[in-house]
Amino acid sequence: MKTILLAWRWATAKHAVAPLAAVVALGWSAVAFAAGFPLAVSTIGAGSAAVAQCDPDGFTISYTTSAGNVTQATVGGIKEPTCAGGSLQLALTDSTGASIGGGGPATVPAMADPGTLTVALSPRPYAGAVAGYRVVIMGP
Amino acid sequence: MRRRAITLAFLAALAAGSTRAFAASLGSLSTAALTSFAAASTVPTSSCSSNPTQDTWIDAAHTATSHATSTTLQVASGNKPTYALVQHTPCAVANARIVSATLQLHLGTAPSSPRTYVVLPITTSWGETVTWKTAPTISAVQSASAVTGANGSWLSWSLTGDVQSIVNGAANNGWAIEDNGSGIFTGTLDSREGSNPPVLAITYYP
Repeated sequence: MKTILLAWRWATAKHAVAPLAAVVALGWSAVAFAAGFPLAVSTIGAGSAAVAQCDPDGFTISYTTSAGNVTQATVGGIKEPTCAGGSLQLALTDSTGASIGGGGPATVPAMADPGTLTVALSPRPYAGAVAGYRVVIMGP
Repeated sequence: MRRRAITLAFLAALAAGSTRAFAASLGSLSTAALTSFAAASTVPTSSCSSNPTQDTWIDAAHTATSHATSTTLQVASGNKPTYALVQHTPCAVANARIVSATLQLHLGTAPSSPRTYVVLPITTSWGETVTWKTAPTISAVQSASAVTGANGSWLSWSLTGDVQSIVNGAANNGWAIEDNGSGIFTGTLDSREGSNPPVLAITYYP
């Protein structure tokens, strides 16, 4: 604000300096604006990312095991065609919420609604350790 | 005054323009969709149970007598003991991860006092017509134990480790049930020919 007032006083004192002062003031204000940018981005960015979902009502999951370990999982309830073309990633979590196995990324194909997608897991966690899962679809 | 007004108007216009440009740049951030979902979930177990493929009891007092078709399995302590022998084929798939495996036998006639019945692995093969003389080798290390209850109750032994070994490929010769306590006591369990045959119940992850 001081910068703007200073520029204004210069402009009234010397007409020829006014345009230059205005440009300088604008530059400074832009710098000041940029300094506040991270706060504005975190607020606005979080809002827009949460809203833009291809499937807002969640997914189902089923498991395939071998020797007591989960070898693959099938994610169901994928909304089509809104999720087709998105990149799906799956994480299986233990009772603490830590990831103990994952699958993907795998591209969600175009299919009938609701769709399913099976992903192989690596590593293959012990079935008894699985307590939850997280599905993320980026895009489309 | 006029110049002052023009200058202020110029600055205001620049500020408004930069705000619109900034808003436009933010708009481009929201074009990529991100769907995230998390939920609790467990992998369902499988369960199954089976009756013995063979069972009998052997008697130290009658060393050549077979009880292959008996409807009961006698367990007695003392210097002339009797042992029950049972063998199941575990119903879990090969290499399954065993969550629990429980051997259950119905106690038709309870001993006069509570007794501890121990289950021990049989380490050599045998047939149902086996006698005390032809008895298989029985491990000296017990797998589990259970205390007898009243007539008609069920005895249960946890054999998770043994069954895990079997589904992983170890030899399966069944188990012997013995009363190795002091004194002379006798109880009878239902055999596979009886009305409440032995059960090996297994919960596992395939």
